[in-house]
Amino acid sequence: MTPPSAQARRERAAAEAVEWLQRLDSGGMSAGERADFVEWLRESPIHVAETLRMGQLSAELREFTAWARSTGPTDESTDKVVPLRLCRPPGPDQASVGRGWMSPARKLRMGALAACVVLALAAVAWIGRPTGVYEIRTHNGERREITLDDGSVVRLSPDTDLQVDMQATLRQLALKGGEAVFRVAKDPTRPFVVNAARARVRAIGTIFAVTRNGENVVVTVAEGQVTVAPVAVSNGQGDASVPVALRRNERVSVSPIGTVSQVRHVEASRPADWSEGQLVFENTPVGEVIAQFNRHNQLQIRVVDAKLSALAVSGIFAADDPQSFIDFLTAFAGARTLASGPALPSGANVVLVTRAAAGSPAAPGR
Amino acid sequence: MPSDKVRLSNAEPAHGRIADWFREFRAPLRKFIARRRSLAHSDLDDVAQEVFLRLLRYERSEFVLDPKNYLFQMAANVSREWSVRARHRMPHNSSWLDELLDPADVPAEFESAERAAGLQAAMETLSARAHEVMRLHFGEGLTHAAISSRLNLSQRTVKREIVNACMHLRAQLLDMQERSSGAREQASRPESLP
Repeated sequence: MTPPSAQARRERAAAEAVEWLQRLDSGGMSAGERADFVEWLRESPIHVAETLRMGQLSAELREFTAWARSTGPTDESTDKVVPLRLCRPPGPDQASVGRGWMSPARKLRMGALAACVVLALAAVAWIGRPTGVYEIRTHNGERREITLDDGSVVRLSPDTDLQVDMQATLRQLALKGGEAVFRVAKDPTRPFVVNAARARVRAIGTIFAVTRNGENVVVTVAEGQVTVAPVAVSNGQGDASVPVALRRNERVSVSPIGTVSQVRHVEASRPADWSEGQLVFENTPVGEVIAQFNRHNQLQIRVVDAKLSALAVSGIFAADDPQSFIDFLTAFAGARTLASGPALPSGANVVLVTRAAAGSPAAPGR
Repeated sequence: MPSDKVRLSNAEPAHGRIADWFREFRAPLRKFIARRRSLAHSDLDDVAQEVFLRLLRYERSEFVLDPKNYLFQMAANVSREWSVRARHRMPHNSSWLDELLDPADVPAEFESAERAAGLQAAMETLSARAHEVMRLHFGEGLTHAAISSRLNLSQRTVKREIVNACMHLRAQLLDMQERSSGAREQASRPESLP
């Protein structure tokens, strides 16, 4: 059972969420007002949660059809009984037009009814609709790993913009900027194609990286084989030149005008293990996450702040990169490095507290 | 949504093995499969936590353009990422997964049917005026201004009725969720007797 203050906070957030949603839906909000909404969301995950919850309720209400009341609590006299209609039939009033079972008027109404039903079915579970195309973007300092519907794994570097379009006979991605490493799940029925500037990279089951810098593209293969084909500007179709086959530890560049460089040999260090060396957390307390990092690394971290230690986080992290987690905590969880160095008295290399705690008189001195 | 995923497999996996796997992973796996279909209401807080963290990270400017749709898209992405990730984390054979997906059995469909029934029941408990305001706003799509003139109420009253009604529905639905998940928990415990 939640304590009353927490519940009261939730309810206030829910009421505010409804007000925000009403304003957003009615339109006509200025950019400043929308920015206010965003700031309100960023104040607390409870605001986010209640917005999602009340938004979902609104969607369900819009699909709701059983508005006719059988009985209801008797009260105010202002109620007007309006006859139940599933949908508004389009067009002018048809009462006087035509007679018979399938009169034009009736046909119109049936059509409208059918259309409404189709719309209702189509809109059900709108959040979970199979999205054909979606975009993933990482920002400065952010790395992300995504598993696609086919089981392929994509690891995105910071400042990367990737568009995903998984179709029935083709797995298509577009790298608009940045860098991604792909571990492609084998699916002979569906080629895996990455488009980047003037390059089209095609793979079936392999591990390869694509880096895009403006209109320059570099493709490196870590395992397996891909083909790299230049793409003409005007119609996006491949031109007449033969696609270049790239194998393990090979790299090729594609220029802004579509010239493919010579294949050169590189030591494509295998991207840090895909299944091992990954730490995956869902709503895990920071303390536990830190314990995991400490098991995998020489760098030892210690969290001396109970509040910080209890904070729940989710994400995927490279096990050999504790610094990224420290950066994350410092940037987004109010953490602060209290001390760091080769080997502190506590045996740790980095000690973390929250900013607030660090300022209080009770905090351990430097 | 593909509800035709059930097919009788001719090749039978070793019964012992699938039974073990089934027993160990069934509950969490079903939960994650359900996530794929819609934002399961029981997981809403977890998803919201992750969305919140991402909100803090991302540039505000693109968000402000269309905050509501952006927010829901992010929630859908998180939900999908987790379900796909979880499916791959748990060792399984894909044919076993197909056998598991009995359409009559999927919790998400049950959840949404339950919710629809709950919503209907909750609507009945609204006052006549509140119900009418809600019907005109959500059912007919009328603006606050149109409703206020139609029902001869101030716009402020219309807004308040909507907020209060939504809060009331929310409370009812949360109650129902708690009761049904409690009941399901009870039912799965062997010691509990009716």
